Amino acid sequence: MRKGLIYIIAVFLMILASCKDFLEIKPLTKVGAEDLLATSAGVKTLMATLYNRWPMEDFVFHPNNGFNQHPGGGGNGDGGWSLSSNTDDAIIYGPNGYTTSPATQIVGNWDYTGIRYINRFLEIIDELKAKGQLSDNDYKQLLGEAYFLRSTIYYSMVKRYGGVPLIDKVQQLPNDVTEVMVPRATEKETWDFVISDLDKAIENLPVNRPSDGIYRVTKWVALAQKSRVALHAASTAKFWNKAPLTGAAVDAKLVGGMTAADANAYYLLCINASKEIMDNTAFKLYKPTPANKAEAAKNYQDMFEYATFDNPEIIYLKAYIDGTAASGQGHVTDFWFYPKQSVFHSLYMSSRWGTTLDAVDVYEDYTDDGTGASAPIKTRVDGNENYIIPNPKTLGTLPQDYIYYNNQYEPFQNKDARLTASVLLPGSMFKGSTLINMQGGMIKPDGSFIVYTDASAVGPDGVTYYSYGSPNASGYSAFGALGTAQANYSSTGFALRKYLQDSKNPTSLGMYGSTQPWVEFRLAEIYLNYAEAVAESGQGDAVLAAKCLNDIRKRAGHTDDIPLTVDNVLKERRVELIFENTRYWDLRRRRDFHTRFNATRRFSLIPIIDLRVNPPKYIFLRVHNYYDNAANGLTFTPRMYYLEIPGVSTNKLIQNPEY
Amino acid sequence: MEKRNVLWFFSNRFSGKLAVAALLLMAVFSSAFAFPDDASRKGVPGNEQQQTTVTGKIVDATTGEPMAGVNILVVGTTIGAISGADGSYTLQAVDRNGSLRFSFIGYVTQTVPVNGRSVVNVAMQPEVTGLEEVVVVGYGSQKKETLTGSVASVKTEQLVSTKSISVAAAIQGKIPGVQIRQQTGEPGTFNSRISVRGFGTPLLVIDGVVRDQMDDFERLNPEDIESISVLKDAAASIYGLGAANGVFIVTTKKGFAGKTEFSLNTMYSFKKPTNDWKTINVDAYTMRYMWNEMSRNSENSANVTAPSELEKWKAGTEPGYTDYNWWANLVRDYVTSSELTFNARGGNDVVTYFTSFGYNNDGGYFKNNELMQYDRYTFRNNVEAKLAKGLKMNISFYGRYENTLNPTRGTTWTFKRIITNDRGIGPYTLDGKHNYTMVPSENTNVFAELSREASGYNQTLRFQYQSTVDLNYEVPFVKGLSIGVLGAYDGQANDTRRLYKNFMLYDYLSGNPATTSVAPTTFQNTISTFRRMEVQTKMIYRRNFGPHNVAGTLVYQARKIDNNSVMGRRQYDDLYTKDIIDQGSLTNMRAEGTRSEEAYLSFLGRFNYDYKGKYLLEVSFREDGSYRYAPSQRWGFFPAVSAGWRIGQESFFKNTFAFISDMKLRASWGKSGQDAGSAFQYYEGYSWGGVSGGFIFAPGVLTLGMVPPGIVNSNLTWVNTTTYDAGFDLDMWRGKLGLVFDVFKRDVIGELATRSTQLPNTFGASFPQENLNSRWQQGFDFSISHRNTIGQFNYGLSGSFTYSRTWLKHYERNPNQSTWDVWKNGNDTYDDQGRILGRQWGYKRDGIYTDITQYETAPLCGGNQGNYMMLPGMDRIVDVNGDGVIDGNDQLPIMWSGYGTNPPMQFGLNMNASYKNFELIVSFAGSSLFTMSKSRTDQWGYGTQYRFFLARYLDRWHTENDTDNPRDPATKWIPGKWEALTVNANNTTTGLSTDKWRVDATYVRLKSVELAYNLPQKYSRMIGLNNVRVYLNGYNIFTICNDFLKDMDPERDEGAYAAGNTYPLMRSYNIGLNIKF
Repeated sequence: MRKGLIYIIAVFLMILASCKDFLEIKPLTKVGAEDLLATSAGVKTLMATLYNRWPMEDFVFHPNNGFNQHPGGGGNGDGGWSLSSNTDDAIIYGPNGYTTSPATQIVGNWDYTGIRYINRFLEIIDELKAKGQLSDNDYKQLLGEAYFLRSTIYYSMVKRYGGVPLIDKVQQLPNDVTEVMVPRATEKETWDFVISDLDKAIENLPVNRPSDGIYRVTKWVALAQKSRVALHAASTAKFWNKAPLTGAAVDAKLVGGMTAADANAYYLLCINASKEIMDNTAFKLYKPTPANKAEAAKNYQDMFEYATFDNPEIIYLKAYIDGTAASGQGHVTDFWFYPKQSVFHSLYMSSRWGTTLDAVDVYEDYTDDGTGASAPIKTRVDGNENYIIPNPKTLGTLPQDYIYYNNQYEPFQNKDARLTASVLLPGSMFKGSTLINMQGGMIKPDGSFIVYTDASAVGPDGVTYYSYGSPNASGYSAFGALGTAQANYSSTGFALRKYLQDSKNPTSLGMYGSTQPWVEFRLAEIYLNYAEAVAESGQGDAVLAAKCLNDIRKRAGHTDDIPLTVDNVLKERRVELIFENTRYWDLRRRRDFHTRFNATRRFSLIPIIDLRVNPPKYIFLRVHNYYDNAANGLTFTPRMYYLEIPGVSTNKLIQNPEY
Repeated sequence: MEKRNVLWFFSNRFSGKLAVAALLLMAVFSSAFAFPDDASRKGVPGNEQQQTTVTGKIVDATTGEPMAGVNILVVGTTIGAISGADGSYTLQAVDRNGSLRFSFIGYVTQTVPVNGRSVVNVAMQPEVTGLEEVVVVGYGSQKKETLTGSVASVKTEQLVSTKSISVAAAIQGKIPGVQIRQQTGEPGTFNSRISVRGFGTPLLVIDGVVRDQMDDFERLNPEDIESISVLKDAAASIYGLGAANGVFIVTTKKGFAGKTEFSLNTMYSFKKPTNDWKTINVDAYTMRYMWNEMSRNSENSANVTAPSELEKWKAGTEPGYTDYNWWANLVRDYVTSSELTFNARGGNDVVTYFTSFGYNNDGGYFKNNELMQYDRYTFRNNVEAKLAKGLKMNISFYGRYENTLNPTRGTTWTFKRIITNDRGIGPYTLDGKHNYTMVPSENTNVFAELSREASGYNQTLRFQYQSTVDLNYEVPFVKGLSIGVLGAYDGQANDTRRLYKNFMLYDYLSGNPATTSVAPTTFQNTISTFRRMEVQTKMIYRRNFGPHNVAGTLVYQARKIDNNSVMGRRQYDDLYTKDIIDQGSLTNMRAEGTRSEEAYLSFLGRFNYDYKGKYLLEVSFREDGSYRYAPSQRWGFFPAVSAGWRIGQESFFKNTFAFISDMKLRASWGKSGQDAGSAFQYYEGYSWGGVSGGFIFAPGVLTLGMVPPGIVNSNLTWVNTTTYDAGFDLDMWRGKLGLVFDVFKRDVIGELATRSTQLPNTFGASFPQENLNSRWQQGFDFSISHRNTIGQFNYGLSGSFTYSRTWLKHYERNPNQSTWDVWKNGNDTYDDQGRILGRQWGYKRDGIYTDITQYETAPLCGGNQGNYMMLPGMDRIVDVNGDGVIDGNDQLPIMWSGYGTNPPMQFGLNMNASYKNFELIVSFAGSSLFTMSKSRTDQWGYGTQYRFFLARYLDRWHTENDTDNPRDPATKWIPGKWEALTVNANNTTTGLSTDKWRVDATYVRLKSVELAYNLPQKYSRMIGLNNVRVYLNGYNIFTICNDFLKDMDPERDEGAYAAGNTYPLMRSYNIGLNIKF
């Protein structure tokens, strides 16, 4: 019996002894920071989250819904929104015939969650370094990336809100929420903070793209960003008073409040950052000397369709993977923007944008005299291209005095190569086999005028003609079903060309199948930043700046030199960087938006076939865009230069003027 | 011979799986038989010298009358006898030094030594319920008379008289302080709300080990249960963390030394729903006629159905114009289910055993029953052996296997469709191809949804086992001390299969496809396993020192749990072959899996002291450690104190109140805890951010992102509760009247909430959950009982009553904006003002408007429509603030709330009576102080979005001619019970929340009635059986409640959208046979 007792006591003791760490269970669904950062794969997964917060206005940015709007993740199902359609470059439309307020960019910009992630990351890598778990090189790279990414978030905020609270440490949970309330910094302090983060990034980032991830940022990416940021800060400092605002935020210099001296200092930062890239790197313009216009157009198109780091002009790309295979990935660019005639989906997506006639008119042709002047499309016999028809549908009298063209392409044949590579023009060839038909109406032999309506008539040559140029809805790409749910046609007579993939068979792409990378930074922008900063401030090397400007034009097949003026630089920015989201921010940072848009209708160009002549010929009508008419034009008011600060009832921040 | 009988019985009586199960059982029995009996082990069979024949007579000690049917057993052998009608018995070959055990239900079992006598007469003492009982409490048992906590219990006999597949239903209304609400009658679904005193779901302990969830409790075989104790107050504190809502302790049956007793119980049931749905909606023509009327009343110009069409519907003969009664064609008149339990109990001085097998089958209520089936097999084997002197071992094993089959679309939706289907559309197309039609209102086809071939199936196979080994050793050199070790290993494996098929639907008339394409069939298989290990080491001391009785218990306990689940899913792109993952296509295949672990450590103790059994004191504590919290917050201390005074034992009291046989005053205080929130909230860990949270660093490779943690709360801890209880136990006239009364209060502190003050949006994170909210509950419960015997007529009555309410002490919320806000929103959902929970706001009615002209002066209720939509028969609403407009400001907290609660007042009445060989057991249960709402928008039967009409609304105000303009003051109206009907209730008082639509749901239900007949033993013995009991039993027989709820069932929740479409509760009539041999 004693034996039994001993056994029992032994068991008792064994259990007691084994219980020391009994309750120490690690959660199975979470990973601790020390485990995560112990391996480079772990570091990478954390960096992926931080890079994911980079507020990049790429293919998956939706001005109303925010960043990273991958299909399946939300927004882009609404289709084809981008900053370009908030400007005079493009018009988005769809079932509801919506145009958009140029200022609506609300979601995702106020990203203090991302700031917190990065601030915490900075703490962690310091701890790891102190413990000797990170090599100096790794530490420097991570440090540089973290500062770079933080600068992108603050840049995204300062350009939208003006000065914001600058939080560079992880805030601890307070007993009283007032302890963690940080007031807004002035706009200048905020710009300076962005630049100081960039300087830290430039100091620490590697010169070469890391072998374990070519899409990680380098010193040059940070310098390119600095060039862009400094130019933005400089022009804001110089021009903010063009759109005067009043109120507490203005008085405290939370918006605007910068001086000409500030502007010059920022211009110099831009000049220096741009120059450092030009001087110290192998980046150069892609195929700078084309043999002819056709080659120039092809080079320009290739730069976007086949964007890779092998291209010496490209400083930074963002890549995508096919979203049809991995839900929540890919982008929908081809799906939304292929012309109706190449439509590859039975539903309602195609030509989500029309490029405006305003933008088309800006391009030069090759017959100019070295002034670099724009060459508006010629439609009128009298040369009065200010002759605009507000609403062709209610046109009382028949159009007269229009130039007759033999085909839809004829008016565009001498235009800049970059136009053909950026915009689908009427009568142009797409994918080598589709003749893009943008016809929007006809004048019947009896003189009656039909526009925006499906009709047919027998021409003087005995052939049946159609008002849309085709009897089939799939045979034309513009003006169909305007204002209805089937309006999958350009409403301007032009469509997007720049990013479409000629090389892919669109029917096999699927909705989320586009993977062409987004070109975030390329040398041409740095050239133009430099040129603008020099032209605006008189600092820097004016000769080099003029060369930058003209090198870009020569790459587009121009042979003449134009002088360095601000207007020339801005026009060149608009055509070279079209649809790369520069136009929108150029209008904003230079405070040109509110004068440009004041109940302003953008223009469409309608090719009309005139059956009164034999053989029938085309005339081209300049009209106010159908959707802009419906919306009474676009208006940008001065307060829109700064968005409404969210959550002022709890964060107690000073609100921006007029909200 | 006896063994052969059993085999014969099984092989002839039952076929198929039952026979197999029976054979399995036999295998187990034979192992039980293999234990050597005491006599053979000692090797002294048939020593004539020591043996004698014993006779005697057995009488009732109180009446002196002879007792028939008393079981007499020679202790330690299988020799036994049963007393005859004159109370006499004869036993041969009894050991002179042996003892006899006399037992009879309702009487105290006695063991009498033979001492060489040849005549042993015995007077049996009736068992006085209550005070002399032994009650199982946490980590031990105590005599009820010296119990200081509030512990209620039921015994097996009280349990099995209610026949339901759920044990919860069997105890409903039988235990004071326990609230039970059954939510569905769906076969295989066990989700009754079980609550002790309104606290919430209690902890379940089976045979000394914390086990499972309350749905596992419901699935137990009631025949296996010896007793259920409910610890309602500080008595529960000994279970510490997890015991805040009280504890259910289930003790299963054990063996006894004596001849093996076999018991077989078979039952067959016929079931119907408790609610009346059959005539709920009207035929296709009437529905269309009413549609037109509603449309007219709503000022819609056109008839929904043109008069010429209406004529065709009225005739109902032309194809496409006939009425199809969905209910009659889809639903059975009754359902059957069956139950079989078999057990054997017995043993000898060394080994005793109880072994049982149970089988239940429950069928679905639909005519095509291939998708509604529930089968349950349970098995339990408890064996106790004396291994050596003072050393006892108890081994128990429990196994359960369940197979549940359900339709893929869910029965709530099925019932909704059966009721709301357009009766003018049949299930199959009229083009002769017999395709499934698309049927409004739900635009699907319920026939297809109930067809395994067309829509697939959901199947769950659950296997659960629980095993326990318990060693107890009475330490020989310390009197009163025993020590023990208990090990438990439990497991569960679930296999869930879901074959989801989609099907084409066609237009009823044309036969054209009504759906364009069919999504691919998918098959999903989930396997989840669960393991639990527990070890307890215990030390028990119990001793008397003169008048001082002391007892102590110390337990050290460790528990570990792990869960694992794997899911795979594939679709069938082209051809559906078999429901096996490998048979599916490779597109869109999915695999998922989860795993979790838990660990708990506890140290606990209890000390009892009483002086002469009069002054009672109990102190207990528990130190609990849980893996869930930060190391600094991990350990909790849960003390409890209770005391009692058996004032009835004091001589001054006895002398003054002679009729009071006993009285005890009790009071208790204790702390316990409840787990709060998910585990590891203290841990600052990274987790995967999902597919859209990554970044591409290298071409073609998406690096998924690990997301940094939000704010962690390392101070997070469990919810702390403190329980107070005071009560008394009273016994008068020696058991004729008993009363147990308790008042209680419970404080709950530290329920989780997120701070209502927001962090500025520059902080980048939000507040974590914290232990912020608090509430208290209080109420009382009592039971009152009466027992008496008049000649051969025995009867007993007992009633139980529970009332428990909740107040919120602190509810984290935004500050009140105004005194109006305090008044309006400080109520019901949260409350800073200490007001009671469970009231609902609504409008007050005071009659109806009978004439359209009355609306000219009536308060406006229709928003921007004024009173334009109002018609005769509609409710007059009291304009409380007198502003001439009926709006939200006129609401008052005038109704009890309903949905989602266990009613605060519950009661039950149980009666049993026996006369000679007949027994009658009746049990009522009911609830009050709650309401049920009838949805007016989703399924009230009028409104053109649903193409059916509820028959009850036919008795309505309507115009004399169906061409009259309802808004012409000259139009004559025929009054009815219901207001004039409109397509929707917008802009009328009908649309407002009043007690017309949220009605008092107080009910009393005749829960069960059992009438049994025990075959006299002289006959039963003739067929080799000891006892034969035949019974008729009814369950959920009738309900007294508001008439309006008759089609809902007040016990069941309203269900989704308050539409009352949950699977109905069942009324069953059962016929059963119980034999013992």
